[in-house]
Amino acid sequence: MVSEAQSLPIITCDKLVKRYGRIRALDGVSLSIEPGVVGLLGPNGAGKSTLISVLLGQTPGTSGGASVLGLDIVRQQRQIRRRVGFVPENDCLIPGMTGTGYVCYAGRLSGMTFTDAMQRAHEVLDYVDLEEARYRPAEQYSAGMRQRLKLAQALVHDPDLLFLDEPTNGMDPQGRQVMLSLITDLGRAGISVLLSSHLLPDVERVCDRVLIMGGGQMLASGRIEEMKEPHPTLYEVNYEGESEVFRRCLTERQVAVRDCSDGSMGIELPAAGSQNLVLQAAVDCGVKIRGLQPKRSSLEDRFMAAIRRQEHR
Amino acid sequence: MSGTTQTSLHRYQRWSGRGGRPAATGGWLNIASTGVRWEYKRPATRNMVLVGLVFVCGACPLFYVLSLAEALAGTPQAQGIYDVLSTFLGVDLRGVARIGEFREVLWRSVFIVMIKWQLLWALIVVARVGPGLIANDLKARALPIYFARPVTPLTYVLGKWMVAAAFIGFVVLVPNLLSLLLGVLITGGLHTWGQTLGLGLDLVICGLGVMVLGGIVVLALSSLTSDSRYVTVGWLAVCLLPVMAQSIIHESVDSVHTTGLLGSMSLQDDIVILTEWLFDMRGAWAATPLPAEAFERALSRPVEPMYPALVLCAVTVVAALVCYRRVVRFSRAAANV
Repeated sequence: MVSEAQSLPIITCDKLVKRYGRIRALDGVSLSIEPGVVGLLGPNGAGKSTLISVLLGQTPGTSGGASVLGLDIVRQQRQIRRRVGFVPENDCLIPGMTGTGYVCYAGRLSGMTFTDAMQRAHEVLDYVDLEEARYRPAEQYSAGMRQRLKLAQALVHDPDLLFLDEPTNGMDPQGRQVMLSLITDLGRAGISVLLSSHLLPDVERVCDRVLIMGGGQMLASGRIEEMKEPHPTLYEVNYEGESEVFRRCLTERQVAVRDCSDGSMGIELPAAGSQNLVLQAAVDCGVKIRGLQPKRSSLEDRFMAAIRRQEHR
Repeated sequence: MSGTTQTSLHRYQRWSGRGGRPAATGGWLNIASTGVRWEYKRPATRNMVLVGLVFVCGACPLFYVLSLAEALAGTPQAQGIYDVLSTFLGVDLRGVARIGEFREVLWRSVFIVMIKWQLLWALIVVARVGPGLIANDLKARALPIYFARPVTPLTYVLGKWMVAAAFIGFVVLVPNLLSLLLGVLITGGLHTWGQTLGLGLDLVICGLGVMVLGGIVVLALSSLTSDSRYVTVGWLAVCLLPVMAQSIIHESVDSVHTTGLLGSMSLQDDIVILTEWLFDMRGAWAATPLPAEAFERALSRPVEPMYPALVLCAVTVVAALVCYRRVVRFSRAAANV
């Protein structure tokens, strides 16, 4: 049974606007994010970091409102920060500090007592697989270890929500696997995660849902599985015969041809369920149909389509 | 969500610490205590703090000499003691029969001399400790660590200021109070406690003033750049250039014109002048039967204390505003650094 707290949205935004002079970094963002691991996608300058900054209460929004974990971002900033963890994109390690010292310091900044912070630092360093390196100065860590150390400092006070900004940046494939496994495990442990990333395969692998931003606006959102469902009008045809003739026949029947290669063609039907038009066109121009199946959109297709739509506006 | 291989050996455990949730305690104290502990671990800093205790070793023999002078006043053996006091304090006590009657003013003179030297040492200690306080966080892009947590810009500034202030305190306030304590023990007699109670309070006020001013100025400079070397140069320039300018002006302009703002450019001199005013040195010496020339060397240039106070207040306020505004700016950009 899903408890009431679990079903409440972790983040809600209502026409949230953030202006820097004439630039609208956030342009009326409205959204509601359910608990779970959520991907935040968007090209550079889409407003992802600004959204995180506003949600953390670091930058005040220009207009509109938002809440995180049911707390207002303007009036209850401190309570929000006590319950969220943040892994920034860049290195944020304090030179000279050991892994334990750094995570313990982060815990103390969150209001934990020294004893609690130290005990918890050991726990989370163990969790992120840094127990061997915990007493080494953090600047001696490899890129992967640094990313995991950043995750550890975000987990030390046991947050309910994690903001991860490009957590797999600069990591080798093995390190990336470890990081993604940790994020998946955190989701299972009941910690909601907002994962901002450019790497679509990473998002596809660990996230339940995805938000696509562009130009400061929310362009698309939904469950990843739904986004990848077969499209009702987009089909892929495998055929044998004259390409140009078949293409002409399809166009005459209002079937749009998207891409064409030898023996294969991406088409868009004028309406759902009008596959007969393709079969008729094939009969009329003497082409043999080897296969006709609906096209499944990849996350990348949906992402690119959303960005293109936004650029055309 | 697609299936994943669990590479980590461990499962995340929710924290079951006291109360289940972290307590809301003063973040500035955490920043300060961590900063002081971390800085104190550096051998050079630790040695500098220990060298600060040399002032105690200097003051205690002086208090002993003063107690000897009190006992031997008017005897031929006292001549050598008068010479020592004249050299170190700039006071000629020849012909004074009962030195014990103006013990307090003599002690205050000892502390004025000490504070002059301590300011110089504090300048060097701050040049070591202070420049990296904010600059290093900027360089390491460590600000999200603070501002993604319940740490406000004011908390951050207060915590960082406390680090610089603590080290100034280690070389100014602590040695002075320790010297006073040892001086009382050396001189003996319960009545000395009563005589020096006010002096102790004045030393605390003076020490806190230096801590506030020095800490906030170096912090403001540290917030201006991410390279601590520039901060060190800036700090030395702020402290030393006005001293040089002051000496040049003092040499070239009639001394009457250097009693106002023109004579209050050097922060160190201003602190000494205000300390003398706080200790009421002119009034205290004037109340003794000694002629003016006997203690003139023990006093600074005659400057109206209002001007040094104005300069020091203005510098403190400007530095605090600069520092706070910069940190507010950094805190707002913390997610994007």
